Amino acid sequence: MKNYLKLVNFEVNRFIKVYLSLIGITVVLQLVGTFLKSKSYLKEANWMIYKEGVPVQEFLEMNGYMDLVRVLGSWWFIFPIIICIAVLLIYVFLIWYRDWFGKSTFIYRLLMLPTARINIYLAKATTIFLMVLGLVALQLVLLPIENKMIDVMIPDEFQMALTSKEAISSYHPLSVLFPNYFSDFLIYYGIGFMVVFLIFTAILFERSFQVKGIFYGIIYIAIMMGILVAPIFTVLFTGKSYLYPLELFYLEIILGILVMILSILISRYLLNKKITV
Amino acid sequence: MKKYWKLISLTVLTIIIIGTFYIQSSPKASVFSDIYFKKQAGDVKEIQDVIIEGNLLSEHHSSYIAITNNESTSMNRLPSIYEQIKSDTTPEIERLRKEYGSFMRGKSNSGDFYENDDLLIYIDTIHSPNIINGNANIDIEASVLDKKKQEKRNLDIHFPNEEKYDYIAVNRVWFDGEKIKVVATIDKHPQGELHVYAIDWKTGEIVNDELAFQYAYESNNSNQYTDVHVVDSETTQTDPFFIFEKNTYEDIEAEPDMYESQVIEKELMKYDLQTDKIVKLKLPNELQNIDFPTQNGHLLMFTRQSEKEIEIINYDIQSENIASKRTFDIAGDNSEEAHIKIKNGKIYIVTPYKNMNAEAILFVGDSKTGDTLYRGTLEVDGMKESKNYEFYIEYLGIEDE
Repeated sequence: MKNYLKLVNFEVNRFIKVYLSLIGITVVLQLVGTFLKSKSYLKEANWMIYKEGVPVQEFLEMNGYMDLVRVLGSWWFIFPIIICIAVLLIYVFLIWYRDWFGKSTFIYRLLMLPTARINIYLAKATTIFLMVLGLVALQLVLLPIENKMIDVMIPDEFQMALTSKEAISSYHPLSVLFPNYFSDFLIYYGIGFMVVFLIFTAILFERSFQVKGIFYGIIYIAIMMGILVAPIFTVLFTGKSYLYPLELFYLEIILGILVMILSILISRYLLNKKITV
Repeated sequence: MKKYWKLISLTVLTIIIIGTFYIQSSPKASVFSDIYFKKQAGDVKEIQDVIIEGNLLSEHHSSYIAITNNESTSMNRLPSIYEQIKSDTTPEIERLRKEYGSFMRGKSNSGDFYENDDLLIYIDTIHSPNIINGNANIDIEASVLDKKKQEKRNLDIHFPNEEKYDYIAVNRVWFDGEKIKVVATIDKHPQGELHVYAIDWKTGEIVNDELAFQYAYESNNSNQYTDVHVVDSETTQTDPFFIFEKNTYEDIEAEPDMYESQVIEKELMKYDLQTDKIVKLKLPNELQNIDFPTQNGHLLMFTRQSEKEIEIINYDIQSENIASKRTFDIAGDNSEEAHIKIKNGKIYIVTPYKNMNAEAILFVGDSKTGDTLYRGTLEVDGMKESKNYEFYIEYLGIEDE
């Protein structure tokens, strides 16, 4: 356990600079974006109402109220999220390959550590999970702040009083990242983490068997995906389901957990017996 | 410990923030602190199963809200995945699944059934995609459960011309001791057919196929089309007959390039499941223009709204006369149509609009005696933002226990 924690801490520290930059980019771009969006709305309102003499009511009918949803749909908001997702996706691969292709073959030292090798795998996975959830938490803190900014900058009569939660659920792409219900959150992120395990195992296949390993890795992922979708496809194509819907739902959860366990077990085997430096 | 501060703070903060987000997320309607029914008369118990949904609009806000006796909930969001999967079926089928779990296993939720003390007959329609030609395969399966012996039997039924159907829906299942009668509407584009099949309950052989009615549900050249639907009944298991409504519509050019459907002919038919005879019901003139009656045994209940009251007219199918009329006073200046539901001998009424001045009333009455069982008003409290709100009630539902 202590070794595992040490490894997690080590992995987090290795990535912390990039991670802090991601946090910085997100905070700056989103807050600036909120400010500029509010500002331009105000400018528009001022121009229309005071220069053009459009009545307030008519302006609102034409332009709508200012609310968080306007910010959410803008590039200021979406761009940093895309960057974060992209960097973390790349890092899912890099977290392994940097150990092989770094200045010194660092993986050699990692594998020589007096600890179970699977701890390396688990520590890397934990690091990815922590980083993902950390960014989710950051966004959840930023949303109310952005909402407050709008509240401060825009006169009440031009505002739609939305809570950040309502804003999220009315803007579809975000409700995937921040589902309304904790159970949905567990399902979405559970699937995400399962995919991380699958990719990690595929990477270890490649590291163990080189070119042939890429092929093994792809086959492994395909088989696991096949196991997961088989029950649902059976129902879709036959129009009949032996299981009741909730039973099918629980079966899928169990299959998902099995896929994760299987990935860990296979990775342990690969790390212990097959991996080459 | 000191060494781990980054890791610890990242973990702790993440858990606290995500945890807080989901803990405080009880989906209460946010702008209005409370929306509820205030009792004026009767018993609150009567509205225990009532659910009302509508759009609440204020100057700065709009949300879709559901109100039950206990609470109001903002429904701007979809239910969770778990909830969606859980509520995939009707309360009736849910009950069968609970009571006859192993018999119901493998049956879809789109079938219909007949049940008495000894038997449960389930007719299932299965629409599955045909990978080869892209059409749907349609299969009908019948299973019989002997409740006493706990014996399950599947009947191998082949409906004539099954492969030509685009869609089939089972409307009613009835059993006369020997034959299973299956009432089904079948789509064969652009034709619709209402069939009553008689199936030998021992062999599964179709002994009779009555074409009760054939109609074109898509507008032909004359801009006319017909729609047939089986009237909802609360007593499907005991009625040896069913009522169907046949409406013929015509598209009429109300304004240039603006078409409206108008009913040009409307008929109510009674189909006797014992004799396979169809009788056209002679409706008195005053019932001619009222849509969608509800059936309970020999009574057809029609509802009619005037400015201040709602009238429920019970029409007796046997005597072909109006059996009784009840008037429920809903006093309000509602010019729009109220939402009305009739269930288990009770009539539920909710008027569709509420703002600062106009009241919305929820009313429950006994459809036979005309007694008031509950009467209440919808109250909107704790307005944070504006006084100019409007609440449009769009749905009235009665949940099964």
